[in-house]
Amino acid sequence: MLEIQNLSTHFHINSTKLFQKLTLKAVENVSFTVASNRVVGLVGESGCGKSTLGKTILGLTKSTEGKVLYEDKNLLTLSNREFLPYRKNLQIIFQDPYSSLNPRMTIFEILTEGLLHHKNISSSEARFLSIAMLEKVGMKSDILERYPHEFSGGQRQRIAIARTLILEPKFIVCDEVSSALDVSNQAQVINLLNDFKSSMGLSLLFISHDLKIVSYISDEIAIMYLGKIVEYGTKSEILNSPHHPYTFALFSSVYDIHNRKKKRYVVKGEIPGVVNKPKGCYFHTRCPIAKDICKTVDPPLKNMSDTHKVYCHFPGEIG
Amino acid sequence: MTDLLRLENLSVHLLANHSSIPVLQDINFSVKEGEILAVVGESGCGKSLTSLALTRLLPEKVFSYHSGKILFQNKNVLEFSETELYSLRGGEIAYIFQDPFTSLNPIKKIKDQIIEPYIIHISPNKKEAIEKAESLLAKVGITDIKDRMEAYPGQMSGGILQRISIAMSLMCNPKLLVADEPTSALDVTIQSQLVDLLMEIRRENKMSILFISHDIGLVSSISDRIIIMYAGQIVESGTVDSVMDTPLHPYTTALLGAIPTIGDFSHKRLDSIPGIVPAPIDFPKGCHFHARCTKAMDICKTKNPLITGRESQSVRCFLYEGEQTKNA
Repeated sequence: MLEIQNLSTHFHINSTKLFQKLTLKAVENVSFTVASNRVVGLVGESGCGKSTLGKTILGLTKSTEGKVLYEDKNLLTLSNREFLPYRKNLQIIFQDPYSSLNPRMTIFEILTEGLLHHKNISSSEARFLSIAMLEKVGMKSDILERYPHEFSGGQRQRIAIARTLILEPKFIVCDEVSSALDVSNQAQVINLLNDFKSSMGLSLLFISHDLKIVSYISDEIAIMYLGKIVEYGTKSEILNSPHHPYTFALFSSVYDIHNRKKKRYVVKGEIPGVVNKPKGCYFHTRCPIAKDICKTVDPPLKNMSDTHKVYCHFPGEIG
Repeated sequence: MTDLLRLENLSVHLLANHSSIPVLQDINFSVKEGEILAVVGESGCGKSLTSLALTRLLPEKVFSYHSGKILFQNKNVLEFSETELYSLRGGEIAYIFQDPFTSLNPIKKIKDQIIEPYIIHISPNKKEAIEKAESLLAKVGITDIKDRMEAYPGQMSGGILQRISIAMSLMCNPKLLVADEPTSALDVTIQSQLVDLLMEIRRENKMSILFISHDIGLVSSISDRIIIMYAGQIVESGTVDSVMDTPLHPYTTALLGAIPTIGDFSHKRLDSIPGIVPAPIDFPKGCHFHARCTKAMDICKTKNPLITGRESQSVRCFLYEGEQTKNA
């Protein structure tokens, strides 16, 4: 339903030297597809380019090269005006519900702003739809005239979800939607998204650094490291047979209540800076099985199965 | 094992607008020598307040230590003079805070801040202090120590800074380390590195750790005993195995059910707790959790349950009040 091909996003930043510009390659050559009614989880550590990728797909950040195909059209070549009809179907929910809701708008205005723009309906119809939507996300319908500051983080995030879903989108980028919330509210938001996925046939790109949440909600999982996707596969492929050493390390570093004494596998070293990335495989500086070839040669794509892809010189040799 | 630290019925009130609002109520726990005690709860439950109250770091213009005792090596911290407190803080009880970017001074070189506790508590000999700092930095896995000592916090990553904070907290060989969400601001691979480091240091120095975190998975993997807090009270405590395997309090059960397990393909719904943690001014009458509890009874709305149970597991809930009389 949404096909991402060789997508790259580079930023040009000032260097400390006069007249010299540096290129920050935030997203490099990323390809994957989001099928309809599927959840693709995107995981990685901070600064690896997860959010930039999410925004680039929706054209909110300008891409450097690559294509995003939706209904056989490349979204990235569309002008703002041409993109407009697609916005209704392609939505985003942000991490921090404290800054993503305009504090000077009432809940009614927040919920209906997009609706009145995209659909030719009257204000009373919009009110009717808002009330129905609020009930679906488990909020009372008498809050329409209130302001965001009157609500807690979990409630605000549900309002943000309602604002997005009222447009009946097909695809939503969920950018760390549960990270700012406490465990109990986090579960509410995840359940809600899961319910809407089934009832509305939604597709989600679920960006998060929380591996437990991602592996709960996702059908496919993509692992990102320093701007590149290093492994991609179905949930069971990634969880049961990770082939990239980084994937292995990430999931091994999760602390699990039900498996408290498990032996964990810890990678050494810090995450390198995104401006001066290492040569060859980006992970070689921290990889326990790195050999000489990893220091110089970019790892090629290797297909483990039709759905399972790994970028590594020695896939599956860890574990 | 003897108790290094024991809190007896500690209650702390917040003074505001001529009224006094309880923010911590009847806190009872002990940290034994060499053990790791975890304090878990959602934001606003009083975890950090408890940790700061231990050394009376809460400003006494705003907070009052209403009742109870804080016994550190059998001496009541609430009766300490300013000088005694001064030698306790950073000396015998050291802290590591959540965010290394704000807990270190941005305009002081690492060298100058890391030796400060040593100069104050142990000896004014600067050369000795620097030697000690360098050996600790090596132990926490910092490379290029000479350069790092001359650098400022803004020049380093969060993982490195948190390693430096850990080294700094160890400068005076503390008996108790209070770690308040020490890895929550860091990436998972870095978190694993630091947790392993803390465990190694604890083994070598035989110190006790009070580990405060909202991450139940993390603390249950490393701690000996665990305390679950809700709205200013301890609702359940006990050994990690008993609390995790047979949680008693409805809040603990709900909290554990809200966390997905990796590798669980059953697609069962996560438990969620309706409502939010109340602010101290809105702490309800009766059991603090009754408004969100699925098992609330009439008595829960009016009376606050007492802690009942044994050393290995105790709980503050009316569902188990009967069992206490049975056991007694």
